Amino acid sequence: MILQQLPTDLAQLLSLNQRSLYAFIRGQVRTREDADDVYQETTVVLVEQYNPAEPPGNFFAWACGIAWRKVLVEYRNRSRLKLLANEELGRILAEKVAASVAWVSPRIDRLQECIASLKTESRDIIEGFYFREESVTQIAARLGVSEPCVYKTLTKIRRTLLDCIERKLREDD
Amino acid sequence: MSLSQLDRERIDQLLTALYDGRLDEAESARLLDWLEEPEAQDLFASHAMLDAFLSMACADPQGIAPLKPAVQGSVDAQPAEKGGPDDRATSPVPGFLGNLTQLGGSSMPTLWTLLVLISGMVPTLALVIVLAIRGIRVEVNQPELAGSSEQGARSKRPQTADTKTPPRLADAPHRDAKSSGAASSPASAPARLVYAKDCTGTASRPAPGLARPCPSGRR
Repeated sequence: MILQQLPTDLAQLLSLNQRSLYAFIRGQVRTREDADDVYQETTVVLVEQYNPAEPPGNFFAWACGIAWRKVLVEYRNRSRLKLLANEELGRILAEKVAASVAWVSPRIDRLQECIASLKTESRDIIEGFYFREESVTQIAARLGVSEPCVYKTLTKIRRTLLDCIERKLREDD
Repeated sequence: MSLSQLDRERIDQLLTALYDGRLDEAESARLLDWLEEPEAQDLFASHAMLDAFLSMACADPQGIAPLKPAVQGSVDAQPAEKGGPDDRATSPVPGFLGNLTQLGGSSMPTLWTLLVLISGMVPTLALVIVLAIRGIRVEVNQPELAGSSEQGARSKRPQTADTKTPPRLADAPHRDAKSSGAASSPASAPARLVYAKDCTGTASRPAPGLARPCPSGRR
């Protein structure tokens, strides 16, 4: 699908929300391939259902809702479904994730800076888990540590990064 | 109910396991209980958000250079054949020549060309000497040829020589030049993989491992 062939306003909305929408999906699925598939399917639905006469009030929230349902389909046979089978809870979580994504999306540069400030070991774990898509088991085996150790380390790194982002935002203000 | 720091850590680890696709039923049920709390829901959201942006930050083409061959010439991307350019890595000669070129300021192809020319001239010169000696012996041992048809004898000499020398012997150094001499040219330098850059754009290094083991405990 070529963006230029879409209605101008939809093309603009998709372009504006592309990164945030992808981030929303990426936070729910484990691999880039899955995220790409869900994103593509979501975009198709958005194009099909978009009505220029009655555009959604909040395009991003609408798009996230569609993406969320695609994620659920993606994970129908996986353990995550049991957690998200509670529709009401699923809706709440989706809304919160969408709000978080919308909030942090313009600040991703800060995250890059914070990643850069991590120690080499921490960065290696983060890159292994998120970029090379290694499982916790694989990382633990590679580093010769226990899995709980990797879990704890990831938690610490994540907290460090969030603190770093907040600190940098305060500095900006 | 406010979550304690321990609770938050526990939830965070459960969410990591969830993202990793390793959450079992019991853990899933426990997490579901937690997520009744708005605070835990916020944790879930921030966790998912950070998962997303870390994945994207690390995969961002602006931050990560894909694995690619080090480009030093136009044909660098071509895989090196066995016995070809890559083999020079095990040979002491290129290193030696490399040192020479550094000292002399000359380029590797020039030195290689010189070496090939010299190595090619040696058998050629030997061949000429052998032919000359054999020619003298023919003239000495077969005077009738010289006497009957000097021109014919002369015309036979090269043929005799040709049958005793490998055909196109002089080509051999040139073939060598292709497999060894040309190997040093920048255009045929081997394709070498470089480390992918990390999220920060710097080349990543092999993991040194954790300096100390974490205290044991369930995640």
